[in-house]
Amino acid sequence: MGLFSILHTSRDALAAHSRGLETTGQNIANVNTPGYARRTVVLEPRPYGKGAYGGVDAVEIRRLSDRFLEQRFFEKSGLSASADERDQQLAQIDGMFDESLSKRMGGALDQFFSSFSTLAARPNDPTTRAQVLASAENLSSQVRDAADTIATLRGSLTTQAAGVVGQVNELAANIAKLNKQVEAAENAGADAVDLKDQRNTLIEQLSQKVDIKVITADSGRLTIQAAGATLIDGDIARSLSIDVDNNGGLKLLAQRSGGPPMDVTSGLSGGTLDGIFQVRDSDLATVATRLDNFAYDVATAINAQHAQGFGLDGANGRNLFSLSATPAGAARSLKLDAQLSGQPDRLAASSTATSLPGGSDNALAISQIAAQAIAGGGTRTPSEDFAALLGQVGQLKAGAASTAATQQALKAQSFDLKEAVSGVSIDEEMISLTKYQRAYEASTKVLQTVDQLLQELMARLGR
Amino acid sequence: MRIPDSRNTSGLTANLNRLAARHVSAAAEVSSGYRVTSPSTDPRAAAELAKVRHAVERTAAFRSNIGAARGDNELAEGILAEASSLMERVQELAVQSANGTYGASERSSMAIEITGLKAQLLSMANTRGSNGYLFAGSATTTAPFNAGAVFVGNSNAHPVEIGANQVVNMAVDGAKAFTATGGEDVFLVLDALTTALNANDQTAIITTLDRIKSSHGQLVRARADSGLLLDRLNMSESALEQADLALKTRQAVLGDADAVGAMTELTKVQNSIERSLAVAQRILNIRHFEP
Repeated sequence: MGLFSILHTSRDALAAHSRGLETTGQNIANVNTPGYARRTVVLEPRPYGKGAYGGVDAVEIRRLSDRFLEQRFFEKSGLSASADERDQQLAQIDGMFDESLSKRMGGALDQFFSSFSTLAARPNDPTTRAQVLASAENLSSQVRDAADTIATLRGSLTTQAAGVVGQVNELAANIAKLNKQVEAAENAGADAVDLKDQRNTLIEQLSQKVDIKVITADSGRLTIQAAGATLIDGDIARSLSIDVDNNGGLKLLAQRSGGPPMDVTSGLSGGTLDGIFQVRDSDLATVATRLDNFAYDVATAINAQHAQGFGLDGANGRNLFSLSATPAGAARSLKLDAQLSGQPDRLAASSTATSLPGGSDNALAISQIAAQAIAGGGTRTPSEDFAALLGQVGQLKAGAASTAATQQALKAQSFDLKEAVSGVSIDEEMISLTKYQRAYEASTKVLQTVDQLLQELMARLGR
Repeated sequence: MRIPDSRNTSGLTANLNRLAARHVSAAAEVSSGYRVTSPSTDPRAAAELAKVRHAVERTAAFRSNIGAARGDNELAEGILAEASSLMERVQELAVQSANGTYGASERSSMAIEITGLKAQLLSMANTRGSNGYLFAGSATTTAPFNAGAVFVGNSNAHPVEIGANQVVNMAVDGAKAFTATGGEDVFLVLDALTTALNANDQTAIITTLDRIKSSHGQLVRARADSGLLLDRLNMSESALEQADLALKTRQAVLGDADAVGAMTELTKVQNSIERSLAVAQRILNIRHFEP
């Protein structure tokens, strides 16, 4: 090995350490870039002897990541997004049932029964009768408003779900494109780490919309399943869509090649889409059903009693409220009966025509419904049933908040584990920077030394 | 384990978010004065509060009913007391007129006074309360005694709720107080006395004495019934007052903010936020390069 071969060795060393400095610089530059996985230069010694002059070769810029930790992060990210969405949506319902600062449905229910108790004391007082009608109108309006708010929220969640599905399809198409570019770059022997970073960023975004499973074949081909159905297979992206079933529930449909879309609703387990489905078709549906049952039980019991009594006009058989014939939709349909609207004299306070106008047995009987177990299948009084509904809403929201906090912690934990492999540490990069700088300086020194030796040699040979 | 720089910022952000949520909650509690500001704050307490609020509202309604019932019963009792006094005066006149020394003209003068007293009694029997005629039963819009002092009301009860499962009849039965339903028709007794006085019939006058006494007793008994009802109303009012206090105490325990605790929490959270920000500043100010 001669002096000239040392020059080659130094040249390779300068190139290799220069790549090291370059990579360190890139890592530092991207310390705050989401989805960026740190790089490292893989150095290998060149063979030495038999015509080979040794040295070092920067064979690869390696993207440091762990696919299992990434998959775990995607999973936790999806579960956290689902829980966050549910928590945020339920906050609206929780607020609707807040009775601490102003009387709402519970207050209206209490006032309604109290007004009948007062009517029993003053059965032919026009002011009291007007107050009873006003309290009945207020109760029906409060129940109706609550049911309408739930229905409106469910409607807006349908629109929101369609929007999220659109984002999922767009992300899937972009990921499929990147898959194709990565494959092409790798086949051409080019560096695809930046493309993989871009793809990972999109996959992370996708994981927040819908639960995904990323499968990487030995060949490097990437398949992504969403809600249990294949969404992306290499460079082919399929699409998701939503529909509404006969019961008004949302359905998530996955496109299939050569067949009708497949219902994958039961496979949905994460992402904002899952949160939307849970709130719309489980939480809100439960609250709406409970509210319907409450409205139906209370209003039918009151109607049955009211119809037995007589108004000041001597007529009987009138309902106080009008509502649907079955519990389904009762809350939204609840209103003061048209026959009673603006007609306080028709309130049936008296149980017989002969005891008019001062008879108050029927008003008393209606007031006493407040203490009768007419709701919840004959197990709860109206106020107990309302309290149970309130408690259930509180439990749902508190449970959602607790789940969201837990999932956020788990997501943070899995993020830390993923970042422990992929994240950039400025401290480490500073050490690398110094390491490559010193190596570069030393290689330059070798080059200078060889140069001096060669100059000396040339000088001596030239004498 | 490697600690990348992202760990510092993600941890700081997560901690500050958690503290911000606690800060919002503590500030809401301090500013509103309520601990349970939404059902999810404490679902069990929120459900119990709904039941307590219902009980408070019902108690207020019962107390209002007692107020109305008491007003009318006090009025009825006063009327019956006056009616009893009036009957005492009738009794006095009847006893005087039964004396053999009284002549026709004196008895005729007494008859005029009795007629006046009857008109006064009729007016009393037709007194209106807060819910129409006091002694009319459920026919509260029609005077219970017509111009001929014939009872045209009824004896229907007027049930009023004064507590959970406690109903009282607040109607004072006019028939029982003033008509033969109670023993004697007071107005007919007065008519009989007037007729006897005008006829200067000492025997007939003496005959009315027992009936007058009986009528007086009838009015006294009716007044006593009203008095008993008033006692019951007062007892119920007192019990409801205590129940209301207990319910409102329970309501405060369940739903009101613990002022000291809430302020302490607010101060603690504010201090924690300041410390977190100081830590963030320190971490983010670490210099890897000398300028």
